[in-house]
Amino acid sequence: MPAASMYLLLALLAGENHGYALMRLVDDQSQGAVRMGPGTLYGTLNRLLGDRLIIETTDDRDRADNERRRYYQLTSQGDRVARTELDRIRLLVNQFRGVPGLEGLSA
Amino acid sequence: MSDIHTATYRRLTRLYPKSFRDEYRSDLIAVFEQQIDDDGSVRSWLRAIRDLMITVPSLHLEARMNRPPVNLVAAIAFAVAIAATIGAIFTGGSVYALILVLIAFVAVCIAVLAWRASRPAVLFESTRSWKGFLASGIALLAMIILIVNLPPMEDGDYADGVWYVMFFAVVLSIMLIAGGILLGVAKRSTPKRSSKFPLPAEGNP
Repeated sequence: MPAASMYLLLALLAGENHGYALMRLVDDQSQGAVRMGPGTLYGTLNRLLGDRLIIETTDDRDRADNERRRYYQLTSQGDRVARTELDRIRLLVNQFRGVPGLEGLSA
Repeated sequence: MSDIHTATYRRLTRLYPKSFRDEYRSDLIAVFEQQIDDDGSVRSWLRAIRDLMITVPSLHLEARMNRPPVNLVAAIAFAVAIAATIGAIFTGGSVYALILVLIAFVAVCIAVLAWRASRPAVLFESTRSWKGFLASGIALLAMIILIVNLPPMEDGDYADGVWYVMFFAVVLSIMLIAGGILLGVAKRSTPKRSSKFPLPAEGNP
Protein backbone atom coordinates (compact mmCIF):
# COMPACT_ATOMS: atom_id res chain seq x y z
CA MET A 1 0.00 0.00 0.00
CA PRO A 2 1.41 3.46 -0.90
CA ALA A 3 2.53 5.54 2.08
CA ALA A 4 -0.04 8.29 1.39
CA SER A 5 -2.94 5.78 1.38
CA MET A 6 -1.71 4.08 4.53
CA TYR A 7 -1.26 7.34 6.44
CA LEU A 8 -4.69 8.62 5.35
CA LEU A 9 -6.35 5.41 6.53
CA LEU A 10 -4.49 5.61 9.85
CA ALA A 11 -5.46 9.28 10.22
CA LEU A 12 -9.11 8.34 9.70
CA LEU A 13 -8.96 5.75 12.51
CA ALA A 14 -9.56 8.68 14.86
CA GLY A 15 -12.88 9.43 13.15
CA GLU A 16 -14.28 11.36 10.18
CA ASN A 17 -12.40 14.40 8.99
CA HIS A 18 -12.04 16.76 6.03
CA GLY A 19 -9.26 16.82 3.43
CA TYR A 20 -7.09 19.62 4.76
CA ALA A 21 -7.23 18.35 8.36
CA LEU A 22 -6.24 14.90 7.12
CA MET A 23 -3.31 16.39 5.26
CA ARG A 24 -2.14 18.09 8.46
CA LEU A 25 -2.63 14.92 10.47
CA VAL A 26 -0.53 12.94 8.00
CA ASP A 27 2.18 15.63 8.23
CA ASP A 28 2.21 15.26 12.02
CA GLN A 29 1.87 11.48 12.20
CA SER A 30 4.63 10.88 9.69
CA GLN A 31 6.76 13.58 11.33
CA GLY A 32 7.14 15.29 7.98
CA ALA A 33 8.15 12.13 6.10
CA VAL A 34 4.95 12.20 4.00
CA ARG A 35 4.21 15.70 2.76
CA MET A 36 1.16 15.63 0.56
CA GLY A 37 0.09 18.36 -1.80
CA PRO A 38 -3.57 18.94 -2.79
CA GLY A 39 -3.29 16.65 -5.83
CA THR A 40 -1.83 13.74 -3.86
CA LEU A 41 -4.42 14.25 -1.14
CA TYR A 42 -7.49 14.17 -3.38
CA GLY A 43 -5.98 11.66 -5.80
CA THR A 44 -5.40 9.27 -2.89
CA LEU A 45 -8.80 9.95 -1.31
CA ASN A 46 -10.42 9.31 -4.70
CA ARG A 47 -8.60 5.97 -4.97
CA LEU A 48 -9.60 4.98 -1.42
CA LEU A 49 -13.22 5.87 -2.28
CA GLY A 50 -12.97 3.68 -5.38
CA ASP A 51 -11.60 0.81 -3.28
CA ARG A 52 -14.48 1.32 -0.82
CA LEU A 53 -12.10 1.80 2.07
CA ILE A 54 -13.61 5.21 2.85
CA ILE A 55 -16.93 6.97 2.24
CA GLU A 56 -17.79 10.62 1.90
CA THR A 57 -19.92 11.82 4.81
CA THR A 58 -20.24 15.52 3.90
CA ASP A 59 -24.02 15.49 3.64
CA ASP A 60 -24.63 13.11 6.51
CA ARG A 61 -24.94 15.88 9.12
CA ASP A 62 -25.07 19.67 9.50
CA ARG A 63 -21.66 21.25 9.51
CA ALA A 64 -20.72 24.11 11.82
CA ASP A 65 -18.57 25.91 9.26
CA ASN A 66 -20.15 27.68 6.32
CA GLU A 67 -17.36 26.58 4.05
CA ARG A 68 -18.23 23.51 2.07
CA ARG A 69 -15.65 20.85 2.74
CA ARG A 70 -15.72 17.18 1.94
CA TYR A 71 -15.68 14.92 4.96
CA TYR A 72 -14.52 11.33 4.87
CA GLN A 73 -14.88 8.31 7.10
CA LEU A 74 -13.53 4.76 7.11
CA THR A 75 -15.81 1.95 5.99
CA SER A 76 -15.74 -1.27 7.99
CA GLN A 77 -13.43 -2.67 5.33
CA GLY A 78 -11.18 0.41 5.55
CA ASP A 79 -11.12 0.15 9.33
CA ARG A 80 -10.06 -3.49 9.05
CA VAL A 81 -7.33 -2.66 6.51
CA ALA A 82 -5.99 0.20 8.66
CA ARG A 83 -5.86 -1.96 11.79
CA THR A 84 -4.25 -4.84 9.88
CA GLU A 85 -1.63 -2.44 8.55
CA LEU A 86 -1.00 -1.14 12.05
CA ASP A 87 -0.61 -4.71 13.37
CA ARG A 88 1.76 -5.53 10.54
CA ILE A 89 3.98 -2.56 11.38
CA ARG A 90 3.86 -3.41 15.10
CA LEU A 91 4.85 -7.03 14.34
CA LEU A 92 7.70 -5.83 12.16
CA VAL A 93 9.03 -3.57 14.91
CA ASN A 94 8.74 -6.40 17.45
CA GLN A 95 10.62 -8.77 15.18
CA PHE A 96 13.53 -6.38 14.85
CA ARG A 97 13.61 -5.24 18.46
CA GLY A 98 16.16 -7.86 19.51
CA VAL A 99 18.46 -7.26 16.56
CA PRO A 100 21.84 -5.86 17.68
CA GLY A 101 22.03 -2.17 16.98
CA LEU A 102 18.22 -1.72 16.99
CA GLU A 103 17.62 -2.01 20.75
CA GLY A 104 15.96 1.39 20.89
CA LEU A 105 12.92 0.27 18.87
CA SER A 106 9.57 0.47 20.63
CA ALA A 107 6.19 -0.70 19.39
CA MET B 1 -1.50 38.94 -3.12
CA SER B 2 -3.10 35.67 -2.14
CA ASP B 3 -5.44 36.08 -5.12
CA ILE B 4 -2.49 35.92 -7.52
CA HIS B 5 -1.36 32.65 -5.97
CA THR B 6 -4.87 31.23 -6.13
CA ALA B 7 -5.40 32.38 -9.72
CA THR B 8 -2.08 30.84 -10.79
CA TYR B 9 -2.80 27.56 -9.02
CA ARG B 10 -6.33 27.55 -10.49
CA ARG B 11 -4.78 27.75 -13.98
CA LEU B 12 -2.36 24.96 -13.14
CA THR B 13 -5.19 22.66 -12.08
CA ARG B 14 -6.18 22.58 -15.76
CA LEU B 15 -3.30 20.16 -16.20
CA TYR B 16 -5.27 17.47 -14.36
CA PRO B 17 -7.55 15.10 -16.29
CA LYS B 18 -11.03 16.54 -16.83
CA SER B 19 -12.84 13.94 -14.73
CA PHE B 20 -10.58 14.62 -11.74
CA ARG B 21 -10.79 18.38 -12.27
CA ASP B 22 -14.58 18.35 -12.45
CA GLU B 23 -14.78 16.47 -9.18
CA TYR B 24 -12.04 18.06 -7.07
CA ARG B 25 -11.00 21.41 -8.56
CA SER B 26 -12.67 23.57 -5.89
CA ASP B 27 -11.28 21.31 -3.13
CA LEU B 28 -7.74 21.48 -4.56
CA ILE B 29 -7.90 25.26 -4.65
CA ALA B 30 -9.42 25.49 -1.15
CA VAL B 31 -6.64 23.30 0.29
CA PHE B 32 -3.98 25.33 -1.52
CA GLU B 33 -5.44 28.60 -0.16
CA GLN B 34 -5.42 27.21 3.37
CA GLN B 35 -1.85 26.08 2.93
CA ILE B 36 -0.84 29.58 1.85
CA ASP B 37 -2.50 31.00 4.97
CA ASP B 38 -0.83 28.47 7.30
CA ASP B 39 2.61 27.88 5.76
CA GLY B 40 3.21 30.93 3.60
CA SER B 41 3.51 31.17 -0.15
CA VAL B 42 7.07 29.86 -0.65
CA ARG B 43 6.59 26.57 1.21
CA SER B 44 3.13 26.09 -0.28
CA TRP B 45 4.36 26.64 -3.81
CA LEU B 46 7.31 24.29 -3.35
CA ARG B 47 4.94 21.61 -2.16
CA ALA B 48 2.34 22.34 -4.87
CA ILE B 49 4.87 22.25 -7.73
CA ARG B 50 6.34 18.96 -6.55
CA ASP B 51 2.81 17.65 -6.12
CA LEU B 52 1.77 18.71 -9.63
CA MET B 53 4.87 17.13 -11.17
CA ILE B 54 4.04 13.79 -9.55
CA THR B 55 0.26 13.70 -9.67
CA VAL B 56 -0.52 15.18 -13.11
CA PRO B 57 1.11 12.32 -15.11
CA SER B 58 -0.06 9.62 -12.71
CA LEU B 59 -3.69 10.84 -12.70
CA HIS B 60 -3.66 11.09 -16.50
CA LEU B 61 -2.39 7.51 -16.68
CA GLU B 62 -5.03 6.40 -14.21
CA ALA B 63 -7.80 8.17 -16.15
CA ARG B 64 -6.63 6.56 -19.39
CA MET B 65 -6.48 3.09 -17.83
CA ASN B 66 -9.99 3.46 -16.39
CA ARG B 67 -11.43 4.39 -19.76
CA PRO B 68 -13.56 1.54 -21.18
CA PRO B 69 -11.53 -0.20 -23.90
CA VAL B 70 -12.75 -0.09 -27.49
CA ASN B 71 -13.28 -3.71 -28.38
CA LEU B 72 -11.92 -4.01 -31.90
CA VAL B 73 -12.96 -7.66 -32.39
CA ALA B 74 -16.54 -6.89 -31.36
CA ALA B 75 -16.68 -3.83 -33.62
CA ILE B 76 -15.37 -5.74 -36.67
CA ALA B 77 -17.66 -8.71 -36.02
CA PHE B 78 -20.63 -6.39 -35.67
CA ALA B 79 -19.75 -4.62 -38.94
CA VAL B 80 -19.48 -8.01 -40.71
CA ALA B 81 -22.88 -8.96 -39.28
CA ILE B 82 -24.50 -5.79 -40.63
CA ALA B 83 -22.86 -6.22 -44.05
CA ALA B 84 -23.91 -9.89 -44.23
CA THR B 85 -27.50 -9.02 -43.25
CA ILE B 86 -27.73 -6.32 -45.92
CA GLY B 87 -26.20 -8.76 -48.43
CA ALA B 88 -28.75 -11.43 -47.42
CA ILE B 89 -31.63 -9.01 -47.97
CA PHE B 90 -30.41 -8.10 -51.47
CA THR B 91 -29.78 -11.71 -52.52
CA GLY B 92 -33.09 -12.82 -50.93
CA GLY B 93 -34.18 -16.42 -51.32
CA SER B 94 -30.95 -17.78 -52.83
CA VAL B 95 -28.29 -20.09 -51.43
CA TYR B 96 -26.07 -17.06 -50.98
CA ALA B 97 -28.69 -15.37 -48.82
CA LEU B 98 -28.77 -18.36 -46.50
CA ILE B 99 -25.00 -18.46 -46.25
CA LEU B 100 -24.93 -14.71 -45.55
CA VAL B 101 -27.56 -15.13 -42.82
CA LEU B 102 -25.42 -17.77 -41.18
CA ILE B 103 -22.35 -15.54 -41.49
CA ALA B 104 -24.33 -12.69 -39.90
CA PHE B 105 -25.45 -14.94 -37.07
CA VAL B 106 -21.94 -16.21 -36.36
CA ALA B 107 -20.60 -12.63 -36.52
CA VAL B 108 -23.23 -11.45 -34.01
CA CYS B 109 -22.26 -14.32 -31.68
CA ILE B 110 -18.56 -13.38 -31.97
CA ALA B 111 -19.40 -9.70 -31.38
CA VAL B 112 -21.41 -10.50 -28.25
CA LEU B 113 -18.74 -12.86 -26.88
CA ALA B 114 -15.92 -10.37 -27.59
CA TRP B 115 -17.89 -7.52 -26.01
CA ARG B 116 -18.63 -9.58 -22.93
CA ALA B 117 -15.03 -10.74 -22.65
CA SER B 118 -13.97 -7.11 -22.18
CA ARG B 119 -16.38 -6.61 -19.29
CA PRO B 120 -15.75 -7.37 -15.60
CA ALA B 121 -15.70 -11.00 -14.54
CA VAL B 122 -18.84 -10.64 -12.42
CA LEU B 123 -20.91 -10.46 -15.59
CA PHE B 124 -19.71 -13.85 -16.74
CA GLU B 125 -22.09 -15.88 -14.64
CA SER B 126 -23.72 -18.20 -17.15
CA THR B 127 -27.19 -17.80 -15.71
CA ARG B 128 -27.10 -14.10 -16.56
CA SER B 129 -26.89 -14.86 -20.31
CA TRP B 130 -30.20 -16.70 -20.57
CA LYS B 131 -31.87 -13.76 -22.29
CA GLY B 132 -29.04 -13.63 -24.82
CA PHE B 133 -29.43 -17.33 -25.68
CA LEU B 134 -33.18 -16.99 -25.96
CA ALA B 135 -33.00 -13.83 -28.08
CA SER B 136 -30.35 -15.20 -30.46
CA GLY B 137 -32.30 -18.46 -30.90
CA ILE B 138 -35.48 -16.56 -31.69
CA ALA B 139 -33.58 -14.17 -34.01
CA LEU B 140 -32.00 -17.05 -35.93
CA LEU B 141 -35.35 -18.79 -36.28
CA ALA B 142 -36.97 -15.58 -37.47
CA MET B 143 -34.23 -15.06 -40.08
CA ILE B 144 -34.68 -18.64 -41.38
CA ILE B 145 -38.44 -18.13 -41.68
CA LEU B 146 -37.82 -14.83 -43.47
CA ILE B 147 -35.34 -16.39 -45.93
CA VAL B 148 -37.61 -19.37 -46.64
CA ASN B 149 -40.51 -17.06 -47.39
CA LEU B 150 -38.56 -14.79 -49.74
CA PRO B 151 -39.06 -15.63 -53.41
CA PRO B 152 -36.04 -17.52 -54.85
CA MET B 153 -33.93 -15.60 -57.39
CA GLU B 154 -33.65 -18.63 -59.70
CA ASP B 155 -36.54 -20.73 -60.84
CA GLY B 156 -37.21 -23.93 -59.03
CA ASP B 157 -36.67 -25.24 -55.59
CA TYR B 158 -33.64 -24.99 -53.29
CA ALA B 159 -30.81 -27.47 -53.76
CA ASP B 160 -30.40 -30.33 -51.29
CA GLY B 161 -27.31 -28.68 -49.76
CA VAL B 162 -29.37 -25.61 -48.86
CA TRP B 163 -31.89 -27.69 -47.01
CA TYR B 164 -29.14 -29.35 -45.00
CA VAL B 165 -27.79 -25.95 -43.98
CA MET B 166 -31.33 -24.81 -43.21
CA PHE B 167 -31.93 -27.91 -41.08
CA PHE B 168 -28.70 -27.30 -39.18
CA ALA B 169 -29.72 -23.66 -38.57
CA VAL B 170 -33.17 -24.68 -37.29
CA VAL B 171 -31.62 -27.25 -34.91
CA LEU B 172 -29.13 -24.62 -33.71
CA SER B 173 -31.90 -22.08 -33.08
CA ILE B 174 -33.94 -24.65 -31.12
CA MET B 175 -30.86 -25.52 -29.06
CA LEU B 176 -30.27 -21.84 -28.29
CA ILE B 177 -33.90 -21.31 -27.25
CA ALA B 178 -33.81 -24.44 -25.07
CA GLY B 179 -30.50 -23.33 -23.53
CA GLY B 180 -31.96 -19.91 -22.81
CA ILE B 181 -35.01 -21.40 -21.10
CA LEU B 182 -32.85 -23.75 -19.01
CA LEU B 183 -30.51 -20.95 -17.91
CA GLY B 184 -33.51 -18.72 -17.17
CA VAL B 185 -34.99 -21.40 -14.92
CA ALA B 186 -31.59 -21.88 -13.24
CA LYS B 187 -31.33 -18.14 -12.63
CA ARG B 188 -34.80 -18.01 -11.07
CA SER B 189 -33.89 -20.82 -8.70
CA THR B 190 -30.58 -19.15 -7.64
CA PRO B 191 -30.88 -16.99 -4.49
CA LYS B 192 -30.31 -13.29 -5.21
CA ARG B 193 -27.38 -11.37 -3.77
CA SER B 194 -28.07 -7.97 -2.32
CA SER B 195 -25.05 -6.35 -3.99
CA LYS B 196 -22.04 -7.11 -6.14
CA PHE B 197 -19.82 -5.67 -3.42
CA PRO B 198 -20.00 -5.81 0.38
CA LEU B 199 -21.76 -2.70 1.60
CA PRO B 200 -19.80 -0.42 3.91
CA ALA B 201 -21.07 -0.46 7.47
CA GLU B 202 -22.60 2.77 8.71
CA GLY B 203 -21.54 4.70 11.77
CA ASN B 204 -18.00 3.45 11.58
CA PRO B 205 -15.53 3.45 13.29
